[in-house]
This record gives sequence, structure tokens and C-alpha cells, in this order.
Amino acid sequence: MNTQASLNLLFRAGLRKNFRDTWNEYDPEYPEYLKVDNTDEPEIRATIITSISRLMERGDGEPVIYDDIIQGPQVIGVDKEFAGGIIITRRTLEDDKYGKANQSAKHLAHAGRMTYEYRAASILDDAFTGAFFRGIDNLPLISVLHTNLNSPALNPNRPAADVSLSVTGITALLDLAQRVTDHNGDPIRMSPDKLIVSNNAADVNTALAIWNSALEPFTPNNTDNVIRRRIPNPTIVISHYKDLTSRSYFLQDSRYNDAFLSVKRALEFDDTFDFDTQAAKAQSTTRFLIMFVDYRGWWGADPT
Amino acid sequence: MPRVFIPATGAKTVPTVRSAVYDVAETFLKGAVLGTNADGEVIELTTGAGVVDVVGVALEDVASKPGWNAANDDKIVWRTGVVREVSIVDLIEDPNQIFSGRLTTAAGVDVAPTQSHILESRGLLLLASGEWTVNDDNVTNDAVQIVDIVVRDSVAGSYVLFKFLASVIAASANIS
Repeated sequence: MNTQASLNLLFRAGLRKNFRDTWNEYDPEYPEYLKVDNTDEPEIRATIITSISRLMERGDGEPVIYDDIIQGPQVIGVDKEFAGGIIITRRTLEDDKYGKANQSAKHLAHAGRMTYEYRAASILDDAFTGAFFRGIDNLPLISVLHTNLNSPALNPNRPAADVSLSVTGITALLDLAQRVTDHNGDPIRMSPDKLIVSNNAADVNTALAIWNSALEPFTPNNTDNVIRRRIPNPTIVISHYKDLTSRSYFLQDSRYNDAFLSVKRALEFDDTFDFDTQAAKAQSTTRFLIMFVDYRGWWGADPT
Repeated sequence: MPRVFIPATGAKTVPTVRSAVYDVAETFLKGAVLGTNADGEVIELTTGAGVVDVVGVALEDVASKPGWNAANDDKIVWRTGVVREVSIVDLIEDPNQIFSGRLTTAAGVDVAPTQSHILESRGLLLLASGEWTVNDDNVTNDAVQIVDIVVRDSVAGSYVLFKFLASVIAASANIS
């Protein structure tokens, strides 16, 4: 609780009007890599379905061979609630000469925004370990061991050796994207259209160099820049909220992206005055769930 | 359905609640009297030598929040955002919280509360069903003080209001 002494500078005249308390934030980043929707459900469950991959050769007079539709396992997600508040005594509000003590709504709105961003970025930070987020095959979002429901072949979306963001690194991910299969192990068409990198200069500059050079960058040769042929104009998302020390990066096919953020209760603001103390109370709460079900549509490397 | 320990009257309309991680082996039900293990996880206490170091009373069964006991639960391979926690009435924070509960014999048979019970102290009883009651036969290992009674037409429908003795509430707890 803020009492008078904690904000006593605001009680005296002569302070500069600029309190450096309002900033220009980045546009919301999480909708760039998570599908955002609303939900009324207390929990979300999901499974996957597939069926026969091919028709069988049939001899003259032979009956048709019938096979089953195959159901996968189940994953479940539950939203988390986030809340915060500020209490300021009535005297503190009354003595504030600059109207700065009475800005709880602004501070809580900012806190709410940051909660969405940092929590969303945690799926990127956890993508290689799966401590908090795992998909329908009980593996992290990015793994060399991804499995198919109805095929013994692995379906990795992480290269065997993680290479830092470079022509080689992106090529390795594109090669994986080219070999993605469905639940039966049959090839499916993936078109990565998004690159997600941390906010570090080396990776951002490398990404810009790769997609702004007609010739292969970082070489003295006039070799064609093949990456631009395979994925001409991706959206480059710089995540300012994921672990900045991580050099991990991701390619995403936004059509097949199955990572989502479901809002159960949008950011809500309430304020009141405590009857006994007359202190001003402000609070903000929200509920949302972040999870993914199927790993297809994501590729990544974690060279750190 | 038997009456379990539930928060009753008090100075506040809402009891002081915290969400606490429970030990993975726990199977306790709503109304359970809880302590903590070495890891700070809550565990159900036993009544053999009387309860000690009580940290709270469970407001819900273990594994009963959303995400647990879902349809076809055996098919679930991963739970995102699901917590191994229960909400408990925090007795360390609010030791004066009043509860209501059944008054029984040591065999678990309901006892009709009378005015003479008021301000009496009694021990607790954990039945095989997982239900906790105030044990009218136990005046050795006192754990609660009866502060009021509610008498209804049937003995089984009657109950007592009580609060925990300061001597059995943990001085502090590092609850996960």
C-alpha cells in the first residue's frame, strides 16, 4: 500500500512535468506466432484422428479389406489466472500535486499487456525442453523425436545438429519442412512463412541479410540465394520477450500453426474505495491458456 | 452426503485462502486437516496422537480442479497449465477462522451437540471414509474449541462450530 511517505515527492511544487512513466510499447507480438481466440471452457481437450493411408490391391472376387479410423491420445489444457492490484491511501491521492498517484489503471494495463507477452514467449523458451508445454506426442514443440500416430517413421522438426541462424541453419529447417508427413507418414505440403528470432542484433541482422540479398550472403561468390527461392518473403518476427540470451529461432507455417492463446477472461480492471480506510484500490485480472496440440507447422533450432 | 469441515462464520465473509501444492501420494478429500512435508507440500494429518502443526483445511479434494478427472482421463498424455494444488483455508494467516463440522463419538457415530459443548475443547477424528469429525470422546488430544452448536431435528443433521486451538496451528510454514 502506498502511504504518504512513499510518494512524498509528488506533494511538493517544482517537479518537472515529465515523469518518464509513459512509453511507446511494441505492438502486440504474441498474435504473430500464436493463434488467439476466446473460450468459455474451463478446460480444453484435444486429440487427433487419421485413417487408412492407401487402398489395398484386390484380387478378382476378393472382399474389400476394411480398416479402422485411428484416434490419437488426448491432451488437456487449463487456463491460468493472473491478477495484480495497487492500493493508495486517500491522503496520498489528495496531496499529489501532479495527478501521478492516481494512475493505477495505466500501470495495471501495462502489467496486463506484459503478462500476455511474457507468458506467450514462454512457449518459445520452453520449445526445446517441454517442461511446461508438450503436444499430442508428449514431446516439446520442437524435437528430433516427433512421432506419427500411424507410422513408425520419426517426423523431426529440429535438425540433428543445431546450427546458429545462417544460410546453413535456415536451409536445415527448410529441408525438414520439405519432409514433413501427416499422421500416416504421407507427405504434406508445408510453406513456412514466418521467422521468429530473439531480440539480438546478430540474428536480426543475419535474417535481414538473408532475405534482402539476391545473391547468397556472407560469401564472395555470385551464388543464387536459394533460400529466397524457397521462402521468398517471410514475416520476420523479433520477439522482445523471449529469453534474450537464447539464440533459438523458429520457422512457422502460419496455416498449420497449432499453438494458440485462448482468452477465458479478457483483461479486466476494477477499482473501489475501501470503506474503512477510504484507500483507493485498483485491480486487474485476466485468465488465458497457452498450449499447442500438434507440432506440425513449426521448425526450430537452439544453437545455445 | 456427510458434512465435512467447511469454513463457517467469522469476521470476514471470505476465508483467507491460498492455493497449495499437495504431495503426489495424497488422496485427501475436502475438509481434510492439513500439515506440510519437508518439501513444503501439504499432506493430510493423522489423528493417532492428535493433530499438530496444522496449516489449513482443504477446500477441495485432491486432483479435482479443471484438468483432472477429465473424460477419458487415461488417454491424456500431457496436461498444460494443470496444477497439482488445492485451495486451503490458511490457518497460519487467519487462525481465528471458524469451521463447521460433525460431532461424533470415537467410532464415528453422530453425537447430539448440547449447550454444554460450547467452549469445550475436543480432539479430531479421521474416519475411514476420509471425512474429518470433531471427536466428542477425545478430551486428551484437544485440537479444536467448540464455539457454537447448530441443533436440527435429527442428530445427523446437527453440527458444531469450532475453531482450531492455537497450540495445534503451525507457527509458520513454508508452503509450496
